[in-house]
Order: sequence, then C-alpha cells, then structure tokens
Amino acid sequence: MTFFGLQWALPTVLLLLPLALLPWFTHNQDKTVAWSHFVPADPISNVIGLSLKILASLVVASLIFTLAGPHVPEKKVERVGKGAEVVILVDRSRSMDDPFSTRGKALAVNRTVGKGDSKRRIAKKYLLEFVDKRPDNRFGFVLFSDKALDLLPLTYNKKSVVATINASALGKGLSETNIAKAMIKAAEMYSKEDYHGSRTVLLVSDGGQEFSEEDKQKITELYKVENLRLYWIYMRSTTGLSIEEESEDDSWKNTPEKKLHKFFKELAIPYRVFEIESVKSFSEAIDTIDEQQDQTLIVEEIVPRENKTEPFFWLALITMLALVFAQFYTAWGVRKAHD
Amino acid sequence: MSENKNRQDEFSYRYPHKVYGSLPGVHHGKSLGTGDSFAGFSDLFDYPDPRRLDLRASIRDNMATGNDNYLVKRYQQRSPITLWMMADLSRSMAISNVNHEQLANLTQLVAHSAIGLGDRFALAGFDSGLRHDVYMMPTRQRSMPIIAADMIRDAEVAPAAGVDGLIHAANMITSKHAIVFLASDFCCDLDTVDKALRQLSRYTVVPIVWKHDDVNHLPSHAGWTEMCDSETGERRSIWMRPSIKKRWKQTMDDHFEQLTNCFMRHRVRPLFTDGDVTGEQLTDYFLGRK
Repeated sequence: MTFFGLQWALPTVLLLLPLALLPWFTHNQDKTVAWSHFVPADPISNVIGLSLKILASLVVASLIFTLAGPHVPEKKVERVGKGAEVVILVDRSRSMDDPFSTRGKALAVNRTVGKGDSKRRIAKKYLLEFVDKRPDNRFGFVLFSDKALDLLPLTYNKKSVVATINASALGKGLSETNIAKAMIKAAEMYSKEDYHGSRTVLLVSDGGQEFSEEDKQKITELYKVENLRLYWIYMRSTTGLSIEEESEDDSWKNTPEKKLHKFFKELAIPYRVFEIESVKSFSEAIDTIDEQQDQTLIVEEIVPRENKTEPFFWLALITMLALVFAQFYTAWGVRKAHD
Repeated sequence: MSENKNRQDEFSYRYPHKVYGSLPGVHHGKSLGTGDSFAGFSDLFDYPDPRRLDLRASIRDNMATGNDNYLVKRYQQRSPITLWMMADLSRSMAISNVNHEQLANLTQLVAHSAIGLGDRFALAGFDSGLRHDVYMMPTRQRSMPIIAADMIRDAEVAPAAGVDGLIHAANMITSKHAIVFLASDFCCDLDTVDKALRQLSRYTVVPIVWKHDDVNHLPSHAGWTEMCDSETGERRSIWMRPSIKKRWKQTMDDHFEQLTNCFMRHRVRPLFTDGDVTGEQLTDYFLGRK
C-alpha cells in the first residue's frame, strides 16, 4: 500500500494512528487545586501546552509509522549514461601466469604464480582501472581456457564486477585455450539482452588460436547480428614480431595469433588490436578503448529496497527526549511543592 | 488533655450584646426578671415580690418624697442566644487537609458548647444552594450535636459548583440574637462574602477561615502542571516557572488580604485555621475579643 509516497509493509498498523490523539484526552497528571482562580492566565503556557501535546502525538504517530514499516521498494531506474556494454574475455591459460614481457627481460624464466607481475595480474590491475573509470558501463565477464565460463552476466553492479576481476586473478592457469568458445559465449550473452547502446567484447589473451570453419562461421554471423565491436588486447610474452607486421618468415606468418588477427579483420565489425608489450602500453590501450567507448547508453539501475523507518525513529527519539526533559522538570517541581 | 479524649471538647464564649428574651439563659439580658444584674427599683404594689424588698432604699425614698411606698429591687434576666453554624459543604471543602470530618468536628464542638450552656444551636449547610439535608432548626436537645455532626459527615457531594447558597443560608437565620459561625475556605468571589456579611450584620459573625495546604493552592513549582478546579472541575494547565509562581502567589495573597479587609469592614475578626478547630482555640478567640 502506498501512503505519502512510501510503501508500507504492515499498512494495517496504521489503523492504530488514532492512538496519537490519546495525549489530548489523558488527564492523569491532573492535580486538584482549591480554586483555579488563583492560576494566572499565561499565553506562553498555552503555547507550551499545545506543543507538548503535539509532540506527544508526534511520538505516538511516528512510532506507529515505524511499526508499519515504511520503505521505498526496489525499483529500476533508467537513465542516460555514457559508455558501453563490455564483455571482458580473459584468457585463463597457463601462459597468462608468465611474467609480463618487458624489454630487456625477454623470456619468462620462471613461472610467477602469486607474484605481482604475471600477465594475469597486470591484466587484472588495468581491467580494474578500466572498470573504475566507467561507472555507467555494464560489464560481463567470461573466463576461458578450454571452456568458457560466463562468470558474470552483464550487470551494472560495480562491486560484483570488481570482485569477479579480482577473483579471476587468483590461482593457477589451466592448460588449454579455446578462444572461439569464449567469443561465442560473449556473443550469446549479448543476444539475451535488449540493445541498450554500444556493445563491446574485450578479449584479453596472450596467444592466438586457429578456429575451425564452423566456429568461424558462427562467430561471423553472431557478431554481425549482435552488432558487436571487438577489441583484442594481445599480451605478447616475447619481444617477437608484431601481429600487423608482414613477414616473409613462414613460421611467423602461420602463428595462431597472426591467423586470429586475420580472421578478426575479416569479420565485418569494428575491430582493433592492441599489442601490449609493457605495462605502459597496456594502460594506453585501456585509455584508448576508454575514449572510443564513450557513446550514449541507456543505463538501467536497480535501486534496492530502502527502509524509511530511520527518520521516524529519530523523530520519535528527539521528541521523546524533549518530553522526558519536560517530565523530569515537572517531577522536580512537584516534589519541590510537596517539600 | 489525653484523659479527656472521650469527653467532648468545649469552649466558652460571651455574647457581647444584651439579649432580649423571656427565656432564661446565660447571656446578659435586657428583660427584667430573675438575674444578677440590678436594673432599678419598682413599687411593691406593682411587683409584689417581698423577697426583693429593699427597706433601706424604701425608707430613703419615702423620706425624700414623703410617699409611703415599699420598693422592691428589679433585676435583668439572663437570656439565651442561638449559635448558628453555617457550614460550607462546597466541593473545595472536601479536598485533602480541609475535609468534612473537620467541619463535622467543629459543628459538634459548637453544638455541644451551645447546648451545654443552655443556648440553642442551629445548622445551615450550603454549597451552590441551601442544603436542606444539612439543616437544623434552633434546638437545645442534648442529642443534637452528634446528629448535626453526622449530617455533615454523611453529606453528599455538592451537586454543583459555587457557594451561592451562602446568601440563602444567611437568609435562613431568623433568631434575634445569634453568634454565627461561618466555616468556609473562602475560596470564592468576595462579593458573595461581602453580601452575606451585610445580611448577617445584626449578628455576631465568627468567620472560620480554613486554609488549604500550599500544595492545594500551588501544586507544582516547575514544569508542566495540569490542574482541575476542585469546584468546577475546570481544567487549567500552565508551564510553571518562577515568574508564574510569583504571580500566582501574589494573586493568592491579594485574595486573602482582600478577604481580611472585607472582614474588617464588617467589624468581624476571622479565625484562621488549617486543621481541626479546638475548643481552646475558640475560647482564646472569644477571650481575645473582650
């Protein structure tokens, strides 16, 4: 039931509201005086008396209101924000546990699980930053190795996004990589949703893979239908050649990364690759995406149920304090009169 | 006093004026008859009472006038008066320290003393009107004091507020010579008191002013005070604070000062009391009056 723009959990309790009139009828404080003619007329007293009664009524009323459980129910609010819907695909393969390549440190000598500079950690750090910068974005999260796990469906809930990203950086990687499955998963996540605005798939991986024809066809189709946009953050582990670079070297030409890049380019969707060699380039890539993905977006927010009892409690408390003070003062006065 | 607990308290009083009446009593009278105050001589022929024959006065008179008369002494006869008890039975007389029990005790005291002395006692209760259930014609029956006291004890609560019955009760007093005890708390309009005193001006009035406890006048010294008037039940509420207290006390003192002035105007001395009235108190009152 709705009264005063609030929902009431127990509206029947409001039937007790007439009790708030009780202070106007009680005379339990009455003292008999021989002749009230002696009592001086005092307008201030009338005002005080009136306000005391009003305060007492207020206490009763606000306590009843509290009992009735006022709240603003959970509701969805649509507002126009800026940004995009982003599904983050993070490679969970073991190679992501390798130290992130920097110039001068060519190869991973040891696996640094649990150390701060593994690729996964770096990715985590910058993804968090990315998420942080974009309050209105809707994020989904897919972790993949040989299977794609849609850890988090598209959501506005920043906390869960952050928690998911944090969690994704825990533990050891798995052996296999199956990018195709992850990409299909991401597209499927979008297909369940209404179109709100710019849709982005952010693939974070350190390697490529050659897709089967079937997968290729499916991805081509899905990405087109869902009107997606693809960013690939390619974390190079070696200071090898760039994906873009054309090389005569056959071995490089046939690397899965190269083939994947080629396939992505052939998709008829906006696509960009960021080759990450250093922490700096990672952050630059993130910034670039950030800049590009600033389109108007209809953001749907769920405002949780909000209890509105507190103001009533405060009102009752403060009023009651005033009344208690008056009562104590009165009791003192009566005692003095009887001394 | 303790050994006299079962004995009815008494007080002695004097009527300040001379009483005219044929019945014998204790107060100085105007009528001639058997008495102790000499009122002159008369001819034995007119008043043939040889016991009162005054030979010495007769001889002197005969020698002076040449007549041959015998003179007898005449005396003024002592006569009784009536003691009227006007009892205020209004509602304000029934709160805490001022109550009907004390009023009944006073009534019994007055009645006992009056009848004991050979005077008559009469009772007129009043509140907003004359109380017919608390009314007694002048009487000298010995059983009356207790009956009168019980009348007051058993009196029902006043049906309405006010002491307008005071005037009616004053009208009921028809005795020629009377001391009127007016027992009330006098928490009422002074005009009524003034009017009643004017009506009672031919009598000796003894106002017994019952003072209420301070608490009954000033129930609280600070804070929120809700009061109801003992008479009307009218509710008054006030936020007590020093200034109000001062004003309140001022009003109260003014009232009683005006009351005293009113008594003074009528040459009446009030007896203030805040509890039981004892015979001693009343005796002192009458002695002080002499």
